[in-house]
Amino acid sequence: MKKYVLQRVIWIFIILFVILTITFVLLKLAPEYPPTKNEDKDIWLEKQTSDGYYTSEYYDRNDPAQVLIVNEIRNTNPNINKTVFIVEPVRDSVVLKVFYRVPIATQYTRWLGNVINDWNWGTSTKIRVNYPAFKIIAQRMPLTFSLNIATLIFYLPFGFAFGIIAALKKDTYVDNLMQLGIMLFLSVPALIFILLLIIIFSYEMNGFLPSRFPLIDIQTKSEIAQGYIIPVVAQGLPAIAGLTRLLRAELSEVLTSEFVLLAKTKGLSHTQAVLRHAIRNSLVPMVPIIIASFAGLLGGSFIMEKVYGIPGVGRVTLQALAQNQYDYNVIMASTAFYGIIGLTAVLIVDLSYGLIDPQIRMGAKK
Amino acid sequence: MGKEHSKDQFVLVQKDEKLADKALKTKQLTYFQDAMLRFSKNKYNVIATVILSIMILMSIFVPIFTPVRLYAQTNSALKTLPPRIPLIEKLGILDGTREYKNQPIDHSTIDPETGLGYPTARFQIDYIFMDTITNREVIGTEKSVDYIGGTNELYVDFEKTSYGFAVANIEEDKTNPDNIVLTYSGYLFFSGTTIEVDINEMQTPGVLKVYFSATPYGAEVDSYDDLTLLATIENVGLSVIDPFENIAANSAGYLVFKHELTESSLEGNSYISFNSIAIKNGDNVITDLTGYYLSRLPIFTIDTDIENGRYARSNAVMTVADFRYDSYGALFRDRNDTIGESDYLQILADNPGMEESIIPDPINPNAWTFGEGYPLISVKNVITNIVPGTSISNTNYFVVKDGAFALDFETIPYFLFGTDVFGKDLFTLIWLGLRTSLLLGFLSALVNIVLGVIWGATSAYYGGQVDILMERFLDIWGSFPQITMIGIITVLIGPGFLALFIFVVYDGWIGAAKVTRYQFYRYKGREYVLAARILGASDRRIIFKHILPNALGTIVTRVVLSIPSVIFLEVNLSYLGFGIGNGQKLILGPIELTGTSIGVILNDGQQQIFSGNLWLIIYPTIIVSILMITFNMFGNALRDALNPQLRGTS
Repeated sequence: MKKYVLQRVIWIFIILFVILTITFVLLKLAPEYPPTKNEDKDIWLEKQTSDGYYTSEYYDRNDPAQVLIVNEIRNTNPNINKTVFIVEPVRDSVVLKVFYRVPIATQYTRWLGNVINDWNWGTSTKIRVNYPAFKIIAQRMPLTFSLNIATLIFYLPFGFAFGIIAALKKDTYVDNLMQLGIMLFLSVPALIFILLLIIIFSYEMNGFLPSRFPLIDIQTKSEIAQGYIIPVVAQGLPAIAGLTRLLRAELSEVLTSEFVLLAKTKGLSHTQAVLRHAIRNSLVPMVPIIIASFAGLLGGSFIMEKVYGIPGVGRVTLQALAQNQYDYNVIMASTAFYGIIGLTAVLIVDLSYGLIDPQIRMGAKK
Repeated sequence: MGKEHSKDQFVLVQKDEKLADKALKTKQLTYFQDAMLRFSKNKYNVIATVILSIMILMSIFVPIFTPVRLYAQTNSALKTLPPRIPLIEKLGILDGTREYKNQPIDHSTIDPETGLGYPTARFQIDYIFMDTITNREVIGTEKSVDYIGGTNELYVDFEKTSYGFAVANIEEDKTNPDNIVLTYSGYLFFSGTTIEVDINEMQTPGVLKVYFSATPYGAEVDSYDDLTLLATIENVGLSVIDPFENIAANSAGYLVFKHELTESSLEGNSYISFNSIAIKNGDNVITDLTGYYLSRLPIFTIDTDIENGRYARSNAVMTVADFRYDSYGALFRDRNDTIGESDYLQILADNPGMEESIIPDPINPNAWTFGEGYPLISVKNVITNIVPGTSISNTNYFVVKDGAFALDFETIPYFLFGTDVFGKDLFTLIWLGLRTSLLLGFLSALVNIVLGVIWGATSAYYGGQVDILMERFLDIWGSFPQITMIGIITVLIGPGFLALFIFVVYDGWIGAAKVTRYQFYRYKGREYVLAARILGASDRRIIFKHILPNALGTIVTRVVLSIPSVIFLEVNLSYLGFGIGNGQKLILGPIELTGTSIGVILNDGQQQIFSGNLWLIIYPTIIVSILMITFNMFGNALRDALNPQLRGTS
């Protein structure tokens, strides 16, 4: 078992490493988008230089010969404003700076060093200029997590209840009605649910619930709590439908097994047999699915965050992807975030299968 | 001891019998017929398939048969028209009328009997259904003319000691009703003038100081010492100030009200709440500032290091009306216009019979009415001017134009799903959007099948090390966070159809590869494959001729069932702005499509929710939902049909 866990963990790290590497290399193939303001640009490029991604050359503005060189670079270098940047003197200084991006391979090794040794993911260029990129992501995490945990808490009871009802009432009109609902909720994008909920609860009911997420710094706790309702419900509805469908299928299968028949022959009613014997057995395969669904919610929540204006990790990432305003360091940090979340979920799911299903445990022991 | 057996001891039993296979009692079915049989077994799925095919046909043909100007050109006159559907409109729904909510009313329209008012700006009174008007009061803090009454609070900020405003004469420039410009000037204080300040509440350790400034409004003031202190108010209620204790009669200038604390504010929540400020001369009210005008008094500070705060309005009341409005009637009403002679004659020439239908006006010889059904209803007057200094004359016809003609329509059009903010026909736009979705769905399905089959077949057929390596590659490839992939694709190629396509395909084929691999493991050990190999068949032949046909059913179903999720993704991505934007062209070889997408329509529609243009969300939602559901059902039907093992089961 230990070996199995270790294998899985190492494998997860390899995947994460490869993902980050590929992302890094692909992003660095595109031109750089440093901050627009000259002073911010200066600070940012100096930081990049000290991190080792750029080399800099300094020229004296008052020396005509040196200005000539800079102008030469400005006019003839094919990569000007893509990977080569000229920074005009800041405030009282007379230093004209030219920055060159180093080759990708060098950048990559330095980036690895920075991340592993100092957890230094670079600074942001657009979202919050010259602010550490990982901190930007980290600050948004609590909100994103709390919303998704709220969704989990919301959808689990309903999903279980409906799943059990559907299995108990299998092939009756209740079940058929539920099947219809499940199909509807699984077919329609969550984005549409949010819009419909906004229409119903905010527009038609004259602002009963807020039409977008409240401002965290200004508004009161109860107002913020109200802001949770629409996104949680909108995200929860498809999740409920999915869980109901799974549980119904799982329970129906367990219900055909012999121990349920035995329970019934002992005199238990159908409902009793389901509630006391069948559910426990059908829950076993559900555990990993629920864990996976949490990761799924988290990974897909950027759409919800965008629609409802929630300042979470997803929305920051989308902001970092605004056209020609790309903020690479933030993108890298959020890739790490989503990558870790997704892979950790895979790991937990794998391990929980291993714990629950003896066959997998056996297979690992050889 | 051998016993001899001669030949004639044996008799051929079946010598004279004719041997033949028994004729099959049941009809033989081809694979396709068999599949169709299972396909049509479930009636719901068949219905879904029919609906789906209708939708696909609609998405192809509706944009072709709709005039391009209705969906590709911005037409602000037609913007946000509600849905109107022939026949159904007779039922009183979807008849081109719509509900308006929360429209600030014009207070001059309040009916003394019912007490109800209605808005006049932007609305044609004749087309408001008066019996549907209801009024409500909304309490707000906006500094807007529509809000009435309320109080205004003068706060001092955290760590500041005072804040103030100037009381000056307000003049409005109402030439642009959307942007009323206010200008301020001083007052002239005749003898006998008093200042009345009505304070609602004082939540402050400080006081209100009233100054008089003799400089013209707007001139620089360096210190409060340059101003004349008229009074210090410390209690709530009405305070009357006689300015002439401190200034001479007939002084001109303005007043400064300063909320002053004894020390820096600790929490920034001290305030003075004003009901009104009035300047009176006996019974003659010079100015009485309440509500809106009180809120628009300009801020007055000298040293912003210690003076800062905010001046906010509260408890102001706006009366809003909810009502039903005939949008089509209002837009296509007959309207007055002036046209030149050549235009007039052109219209007559274009409409034979129009000239003959003229009914002259008995009183005015320069006015006449046309018969029914012509672009012009009547001519009100004809004026001929001679251009001074020349002998050239020009004739102007003052006409009443038919509403539809004025907007370039023959008759009042039916916009089945209404129009969007750009005045484009939503019905056509939705089908255009579906085109994008469906095209993407089918294209990606095709690519996914090809890639998936090649990958999965290679992986499973060769097995061993190859299989493990290829599987591990899929593990890594499939674990890319979605949003990162969006990022990389957008950064490298920018948003558009290609980006969408790559994004849908980059991991879409993994599913197909996994199914193929699984199916191949199932079939590659079978005897018939072994037989083929012994006969010397090449790997390629075994894969494509022997194994693949058996596995294809499952793979195809799997891929078809993935199309709805592709559409799902497309809608989401386009909503986020990573897909086709508004008006972007989608060019595929010789085919050029005007690009839009359901996601883009929804994004535009979201901004319209609070204008009440709900159809911009509701119709795309309904269509997309139907598409998704029917696609899923079609996929299920296909799965049943392509699975021969289900033969005979019910």
